[in-house]
Amino acid sequence: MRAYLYVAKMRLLSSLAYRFDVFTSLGTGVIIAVASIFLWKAAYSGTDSVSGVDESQMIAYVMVSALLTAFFSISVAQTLPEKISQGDIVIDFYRPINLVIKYFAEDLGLAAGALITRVIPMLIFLMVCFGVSAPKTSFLLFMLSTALSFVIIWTISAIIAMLSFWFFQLGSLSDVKDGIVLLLSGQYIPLWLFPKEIQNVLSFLPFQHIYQTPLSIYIGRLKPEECLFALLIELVWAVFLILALFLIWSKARRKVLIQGG
Amino acid sequence: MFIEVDDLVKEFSITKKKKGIKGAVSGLFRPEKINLRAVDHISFGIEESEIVGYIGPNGAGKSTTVKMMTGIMHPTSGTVSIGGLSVHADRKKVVSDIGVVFGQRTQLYWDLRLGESFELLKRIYQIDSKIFNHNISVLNDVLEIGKLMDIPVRQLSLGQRMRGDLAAAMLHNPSVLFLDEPTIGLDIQAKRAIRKFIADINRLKGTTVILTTHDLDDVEQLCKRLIIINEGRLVEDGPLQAIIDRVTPYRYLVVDTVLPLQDLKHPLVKAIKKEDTCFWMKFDKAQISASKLTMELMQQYPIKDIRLKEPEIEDVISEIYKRRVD
Amino acid sequence: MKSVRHHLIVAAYYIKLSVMKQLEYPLYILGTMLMIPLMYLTGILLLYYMVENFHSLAGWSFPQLAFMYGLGYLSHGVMMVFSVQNWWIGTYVLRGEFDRMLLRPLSVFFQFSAMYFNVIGLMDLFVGAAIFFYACDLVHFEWTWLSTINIILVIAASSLLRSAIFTIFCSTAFWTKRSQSMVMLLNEFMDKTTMYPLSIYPHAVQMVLTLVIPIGFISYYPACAILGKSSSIELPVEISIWTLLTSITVHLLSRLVFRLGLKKYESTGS
Repeated sequence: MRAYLYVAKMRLLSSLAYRFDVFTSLGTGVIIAVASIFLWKAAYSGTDSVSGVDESQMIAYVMVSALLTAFFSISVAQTLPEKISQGDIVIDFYRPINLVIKYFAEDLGLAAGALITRVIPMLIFLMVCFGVSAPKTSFLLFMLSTALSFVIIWTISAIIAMLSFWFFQLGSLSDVKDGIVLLLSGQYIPLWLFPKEIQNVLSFLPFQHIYQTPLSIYIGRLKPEECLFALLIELVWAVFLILALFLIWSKARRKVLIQGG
Repeated sequence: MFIEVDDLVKEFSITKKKKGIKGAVSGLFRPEKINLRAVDHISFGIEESEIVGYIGPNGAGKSTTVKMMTGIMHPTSGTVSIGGLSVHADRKKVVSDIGVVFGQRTQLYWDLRLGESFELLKRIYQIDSKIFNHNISVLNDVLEIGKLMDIPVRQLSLGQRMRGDLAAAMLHNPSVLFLDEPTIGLDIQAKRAIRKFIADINRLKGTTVILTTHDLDDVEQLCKRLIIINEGRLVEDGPLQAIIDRVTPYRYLVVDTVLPLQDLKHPLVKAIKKEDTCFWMKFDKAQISASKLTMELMQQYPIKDIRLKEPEIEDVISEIYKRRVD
Repeated sequence: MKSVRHHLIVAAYYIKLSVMKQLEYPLYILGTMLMIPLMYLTGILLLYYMVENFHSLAGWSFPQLAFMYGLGYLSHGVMMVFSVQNWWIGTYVLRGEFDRMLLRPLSVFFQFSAMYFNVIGLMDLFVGAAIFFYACDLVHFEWTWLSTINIILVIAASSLLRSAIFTIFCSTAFWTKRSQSMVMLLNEFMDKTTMYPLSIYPHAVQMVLTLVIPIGFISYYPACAILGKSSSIELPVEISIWTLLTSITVHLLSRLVFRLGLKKYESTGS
């Protein structure tokens, strides 16, 4: 356990060390948030509500979406393929550390770092300049949902990273994943704007649970029973993806061992 | 003077990194800086067609000086001019007449095949096709780069890459060639080939060569003149032999006697080592000539054999490096 | 004139080498090319569904929004093809690439600009062009000789301006040696201000984006002029001339900043 905490701490420290990076990634998050806010304000001028969501809810939606985006800093997609080919796999056999959990711990450290360097400053900025509305539902529910969302996006990223062992020639699968998440998870386009048929299809995929679900809970778009139901579905997806991850991991591990990295 | 280095100074300001979380955070807002003077008021002049060795211990400021002479780095103060043109002010003109080889880093284009690198250089330096083809074939004869033309630069071995770099540096017939550690990491064959190449182009084309190296065989075989720097300052500048004579004016005498002797003494001689019938000794050649000393010793002792040895260049150089710079 | 020819010959050879080298990995090129437009397609989809649900955005219909969006994306594509190496200034500094360029008898800015032709960027260029010309169709754009030349000039100026702004900001890598996050920041900033009408932003922001960092001239003002919409900050002279003048000015400024950065590099080395 201590080893994992150390790993997380090291990641946190190293992300603080590059001061320029710190300021510019903060800036990126702020720009996305601010632009979205103005875009939606312009959209809502003259309209009261669409699909049961009014302007103040939508503004809260984009703000918290930007905060979540900053929080979900995940590097496993980039580092896993590199490290595996560099020989982390050997360490896996010699030390009592499970590699997958190690990478998860690292990304937790990164997320903690992002919390300090990006989420909190952004939150302060948004509160001062625009005012951030408090969660319409219980904050606890929102946190639980966010935690599960983190697990979901992390496992998806890790799975994609491992799949790149088989598909490395095609370029960055991780970019495709990012693109799909951007499109289908509610991160940028609230899913209730899509035609009904598309929304139906999306409800069978895990993507909407990365952003849409926690955000909907936050802005109070879901009634309490709906919230709990959504959390349940998230949990199911999280468990399913974790199992899928370990399955693919055992195959990937074997492949690396046989090929020599 | 063809190349003039006038009162050259280079100072760097370096940021100190601090440890721990507190250090990392304070490093975000108030970094600590220190000043470092790498080149300290250096002046010298080089004539056309000279081969000059520019040497000094690690960190003495050699590479920094070369960078300033080739236009890669700005001096803090002082000037460098080549062929009457200021390196700083007339970079493009100066650069079209010099060739540079850095031992640590290639000037070739990493992703290209060697031949493509040359073709690119041909267009960049606007080398006439006839001259280009002629140079390539001459360089091929001397450096054997023909078989390497289709290999990507990143796949070349160190020796091959060095030959490629030398060829690339000479492609446009520059008047001056700067070589920064050209023989580093090479095997003896490769070193010999490169030394021969340097000597040849100097002799046949009159190319001025400035050679920075740690390899003292390079110095011995190629450089008539030596400029030595230490801690950023010029400590020696002159013909190699003169420096040797001045810094290490002694020679060694190794004497074999017929029978084992207690001692082999002479007022102008300092004993170094004794082994059975073999005596090593040191003497100042300004005080007595080798032949006179030999005669005097032979008159006194039953000597079977005498050998005369010059000081190794390593001794000279390490002697100079050891001296404190004031 | 001999100098122009010299530069053209060198540039042409650089392009040839870039393309040949990238074509050595066709699968990678293909794969990456297919993925790149995803983010930008998401952007236009957002606009589409917004207008579907809200009926207009700041007084702009979907065809008009698509026109502006397309112009923005198209100029982004041109920049990606010809200027993407600005992203790597930091890397070049650390690897000593500029040493190599300083040793050649050509301006470093020229070598830097010509040395890489980004094949992958062609995808952005094509998709951007596709969206743009589709939007031209949607707004019933009239293709006369004059209007066509106008459009070509606008596209050229817009791309030049975008690249120049990019160069200016990426040149900070000469001082900081790290390009990565700056690039993301810049991309995000330019995207958000060239793909949506500036009128959604507060007046103060619009002033900054018109007079201080003239991003407005990349797609907003040209789109307003061509579509006959009034921009929220009225400009006294013909838009196309403004765009051209602005882009040339900013381009010259970018050369200056680059040279300053190079000077900094020359005094500290790599």
